Amino acid sequence: MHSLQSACLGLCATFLLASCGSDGGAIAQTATPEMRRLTEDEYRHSIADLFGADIKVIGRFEPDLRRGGLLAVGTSEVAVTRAGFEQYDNLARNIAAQVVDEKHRKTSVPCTPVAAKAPDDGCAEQFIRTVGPRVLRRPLNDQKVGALTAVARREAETSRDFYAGLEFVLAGLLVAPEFLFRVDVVESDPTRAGATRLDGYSKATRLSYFLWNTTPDEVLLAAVARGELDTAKGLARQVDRMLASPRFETGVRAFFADMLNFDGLAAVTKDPQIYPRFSRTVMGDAEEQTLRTITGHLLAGRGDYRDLFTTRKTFMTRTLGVVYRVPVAAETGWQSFEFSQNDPRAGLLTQISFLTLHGPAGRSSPTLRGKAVREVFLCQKVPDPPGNVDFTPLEDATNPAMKTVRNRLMAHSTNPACAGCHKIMDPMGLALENFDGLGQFREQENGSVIDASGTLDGAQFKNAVELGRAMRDNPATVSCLVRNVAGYAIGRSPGREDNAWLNDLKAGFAKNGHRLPDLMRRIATSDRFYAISTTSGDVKVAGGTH
Amino acid sequence: MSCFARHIFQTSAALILGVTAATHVHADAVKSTPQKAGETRGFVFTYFWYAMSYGADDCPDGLAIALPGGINAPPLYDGGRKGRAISRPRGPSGEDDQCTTPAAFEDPPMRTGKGRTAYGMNLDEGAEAQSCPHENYTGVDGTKGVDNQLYRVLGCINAYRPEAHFQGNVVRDFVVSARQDGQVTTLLEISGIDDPRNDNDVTVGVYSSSNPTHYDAERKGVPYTSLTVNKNPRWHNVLRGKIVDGVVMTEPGDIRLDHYQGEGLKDHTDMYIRGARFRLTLKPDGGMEGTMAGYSDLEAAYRMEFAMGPSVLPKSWGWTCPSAYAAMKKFADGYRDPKTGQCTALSTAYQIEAVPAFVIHPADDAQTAEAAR
Amino acid sequence: MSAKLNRRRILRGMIGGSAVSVALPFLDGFLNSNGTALASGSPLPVRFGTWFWGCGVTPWRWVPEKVGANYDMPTELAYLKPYKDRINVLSGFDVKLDGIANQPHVTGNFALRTGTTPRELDKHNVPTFDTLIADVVGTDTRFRSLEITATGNPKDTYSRRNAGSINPSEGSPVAFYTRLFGDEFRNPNAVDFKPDPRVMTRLSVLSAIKDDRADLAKQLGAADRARLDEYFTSLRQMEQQLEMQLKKPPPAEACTMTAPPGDMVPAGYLVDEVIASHKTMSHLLAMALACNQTKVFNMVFSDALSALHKAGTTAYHHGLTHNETADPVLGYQIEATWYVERSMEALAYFLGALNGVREGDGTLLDNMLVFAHSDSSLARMHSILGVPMVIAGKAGGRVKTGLHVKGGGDTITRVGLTMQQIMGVPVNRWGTASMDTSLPVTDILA
Repeated sequence: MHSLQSACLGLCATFLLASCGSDGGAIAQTATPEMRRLTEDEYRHSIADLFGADIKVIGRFEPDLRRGGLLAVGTSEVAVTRAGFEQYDNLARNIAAQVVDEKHRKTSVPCTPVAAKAPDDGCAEQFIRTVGPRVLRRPLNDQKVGALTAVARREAETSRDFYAGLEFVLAGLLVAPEFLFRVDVVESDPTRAGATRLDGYSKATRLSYFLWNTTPDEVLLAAVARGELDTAKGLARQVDRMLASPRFETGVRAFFADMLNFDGLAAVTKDPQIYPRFSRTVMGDAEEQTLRTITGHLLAGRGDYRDLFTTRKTFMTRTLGVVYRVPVAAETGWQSFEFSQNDPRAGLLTQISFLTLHGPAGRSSPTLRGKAVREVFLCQKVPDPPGNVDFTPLEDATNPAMKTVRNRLMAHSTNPACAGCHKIMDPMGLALENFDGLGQFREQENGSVIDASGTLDGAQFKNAVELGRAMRDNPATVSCLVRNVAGYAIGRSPGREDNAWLNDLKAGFAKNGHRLPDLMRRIATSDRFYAISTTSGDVKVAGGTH
Repeated sequence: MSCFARHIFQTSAALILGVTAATHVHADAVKSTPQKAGETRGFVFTYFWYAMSYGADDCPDGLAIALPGGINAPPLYDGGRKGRAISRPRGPSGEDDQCTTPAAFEDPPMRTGKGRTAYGMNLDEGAEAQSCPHENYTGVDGTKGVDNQLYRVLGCINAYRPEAHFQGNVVRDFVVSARQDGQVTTLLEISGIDDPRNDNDVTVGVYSSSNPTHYDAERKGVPYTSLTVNKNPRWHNVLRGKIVDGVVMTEPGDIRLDHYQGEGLKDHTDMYIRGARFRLTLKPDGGMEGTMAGYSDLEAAYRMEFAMGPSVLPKSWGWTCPSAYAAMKKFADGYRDPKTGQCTALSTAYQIEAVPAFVIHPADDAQTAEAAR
Repeated sequence: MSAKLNRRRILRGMIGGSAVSVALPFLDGFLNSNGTALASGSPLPVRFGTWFWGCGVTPWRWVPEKVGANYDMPTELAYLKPYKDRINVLSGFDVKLDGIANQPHVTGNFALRTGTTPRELDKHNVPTFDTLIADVVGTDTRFRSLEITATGNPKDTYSRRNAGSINPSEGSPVAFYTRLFGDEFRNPNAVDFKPDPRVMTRLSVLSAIKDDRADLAKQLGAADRARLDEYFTSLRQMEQQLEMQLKKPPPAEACTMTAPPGDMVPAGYLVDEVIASHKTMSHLLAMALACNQTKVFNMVFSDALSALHKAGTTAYHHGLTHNETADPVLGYQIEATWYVERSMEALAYFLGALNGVREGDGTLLDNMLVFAHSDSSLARMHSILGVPMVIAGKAGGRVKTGLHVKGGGDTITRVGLTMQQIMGVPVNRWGTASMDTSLPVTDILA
């Protein structure tokens, strides 16, 4: 694991901020066939789509890895440990038992055995040929079908239960490398002599996990079998079908949960003495609130991505209402909600998910919030602080001249080693100082009125709402999203060789009014999304399907 | 302006103007019952029980006497049965239930409070004609003519007393914990506030809710929760009032609230206070504290405090039902029945603590929540 | 770390060849350092049980002041001192009523066991969570679960699948002995070992899914090939675990026969008899666990309306909680509290019985998850805020012990959810209305 991490370090740098004086440039990585481990979310959605949403998937997963700002990029680096395999095995056996139980077998098993207490090779093979390709996302070769049919027979004989045989087969499929990993398969390209390309099933898998965060459906696999994904027209037809599906929302949520670092929300804790309203329920609702805000705006409202930084519309639960101090009529669940035009809150940066995620347990941190604004939304890497900094003045609020964190940061920033970077982080964070460590509104800190003004790359703002407007109008906001969606799609941080593609995507995004579905369509139908290097000596052309 | 006040102002202003886009609340989600101009402030009670003064001279005769043996006592009420035929329900073991029909039994008179000081208000000023003869208290703050006849009944009962020995404060603790564990919730809403310091016309709504009151780990009330008024109109009470120097005072009105039921019974019972008047101080943190005084309906109060049916508690908590019922009749001082001359209610006083809350009035149609997408 | 790397290197070397199988005799040295599992990964069984006592505690004499490790043990809790580092004390977890009336001694107990506040117990068709655990771990033992009561009354049970399916308690030590060790008993150490055919099936399916390894790897870059290798190394280790299970398991070393107990059935809840019966049944139960006869039990020391009383007096525990005058100096009910202290003493005895059975490098208690609790906190108040709970044993290393965890008014269902998850019940959310939770008590998870 360690060697993998260090091997990656050079590959994952995003833009470093020149003003910080660092020199990290992105190192190009060529597109080799990919092997990405399913994320926990992808696994869960895949199981639900394969066997039904009522199949319980309960257990611990191997931790995901964040690279270049995205877990999606990390999936190209993680493996399966021994403990992880045991967990996958437990999950698999539990899922398999549910799939073939009396309640589900009517739909999950395509045939009825001659006798329920005896082997039936014909029916078992039919099950394996139906379910196997769905689970592994490509057809099974005859040898594997034969081996699995033998397993089913053996178990049905010893346990005198036909379905037990299927259960063991399915449990095996669910720990197969072709299920747990998305492994590309390369074939020769009939349209270009000597060249290779991704085979149709690999394309379908990339497409499906990108747009839906789940496994390809039967329609997509059937399209592959007909060779449709190898034609531009056929591909576009499938992409449009997928964008119109309700599963697209799942895909969009997955992307933003990844980009916004929401995997970190589970680990957020706040000091209960200082923030008695903090709870895990608040954090869970805060995450859901932001994702609902995003999908409501971008999908239901077909909104401009940039307006996510200024929108007054959101969703609320009673738990959140206590922290936002607003009334919530719905006794349970969610209701739509709109902040008034003179409310201090607007846009994603003023939501509890963002405000709590980037800060320590006992106070707000303008620096961490500012850093997150730069890194998450503007794709600008802020270097780590030097090791020998004295942080005591920052924590000391007893000095009467330093009641607000702005005063304390100013003092801290007189150190020239720190000033360069703080200059680019702190102003945005200070603009959010009207929200405490839990995101609750406040006008004062230690009795002094909070000054939330500042500038972002030349744009002046007086408070968080105006910061949102500055973010909306900052060109880096758009470039960053394009870069993130592209990296999420291809499972690696875009390198210099991807610049032309990114520029093309950006231009199209702007032309279409910054509509996210259009951007994702453009990516899903672009050659670059399916490109693999033909120069790597490691790549050999497969003889056929598995 | 504090954040709280600002939000409230926006909310109420939007309601008057019908500007749904500007409001925090889904258009049809909030319906303010009293449609008045001005600010609205909501509260949820975190403490609501009798104001008890416990003077040193309250109980010169000693505490009220319960049955010997307490919970283990045999059904020994035959000795107290009156010599007339009555229909009595029987308990699970066939014993006579003296608590359901207390008037059918006769006990020695209960020992009651004889002190001179108590919490409360002068309730019968100008309405003496509807009262029955009784002795007034001097208020704890020196007010003359304070009426609190229910305190005479409760003030010398063991379980209502604060002393650490025996059942000290047990009834209060029961009532408080019923609020903490979510059995009972009470909301109050002041609307039409033009000036929170002085306003000669505000409306005060008092409601029950079936949403639990939220307390934090220290058992302090959580401010700014949203709580929905119970749909049962029986527990909707609206009084007229005014604000004088930051103190809200209401005119008398009858109050019915869902109330914690005695142990062991499945249904809640009503708290029924006639001629209730509130005196509440608005606190800078958005909360509120004060008192409610009025006449507790005799039958309702008896059920609320004493008629614990099959429960074993009266026996161990320091009263007998017949003697308690008789004492209540003896001390009743309000709402005299013109036919019998018997007063039907006892003057009383409650202490209230509350934190700010958003009081949500359910829309006429059942579901205000938007279906989760 | 380096040992792990070496081990991995060795295994990698091994899987270079085909169908390597390692046949090694079972040795004590193969137990891991905690004595909780075989080094191969074949674990000693982890068992779950509840232990119930009626009428709560005196909170200010039971709940530690200090939270976390090195907590204090007030008088009533101090009986558990010998096990302080082997238990967790849980306080401040509340039952939430959502407007439903509190039925004394019923509501709290069944709300925490079923996750739902009962309106009427007779119509409360929600299973107690011990049965959900038994469904998962209790299927390969002779008894899915054992219910016993020290009171002698079979009706003293708080385990049920629904209102119409209540698991009765065994109240007689003699009958309990006969049920366990009578004619039906098969000594696990004497029984011929038959390998589980299902394990063989699992091995054959793993073999089938790794067939295409070479095909998969040949198109990948070097880094991805290394990742695939790691996957197959993990798979190989799984196979080795399964191969180990095909060999005769270690003897149930502590499983020994005891003589049948003398005839004793508590009559009328006399406290001395109950205590004596509880002692006998504790040892019988420990032996039933050591002999792998069950993995789940529900033990009742006293009923929720504790009828325990001393000879020659009609004053009984529950009655005393309501009737007894608190001592004006000490500030608590002396007689009622006496029963609380006997309950804690009994719990300590029970833990001692489990701890007296050697297993691996440790004791049976190390492989137990015992959930001890009452129906209320201060019984005088019927208070269901902060119902006292003790979790004992390390559950085979899955649980951290030696902690006082304060719930801070959180729903008590967090505890039931945690118990289920520790025992492998596939559940990530449990309870209804205000008691609906998906937050386990992570403080105690190892």
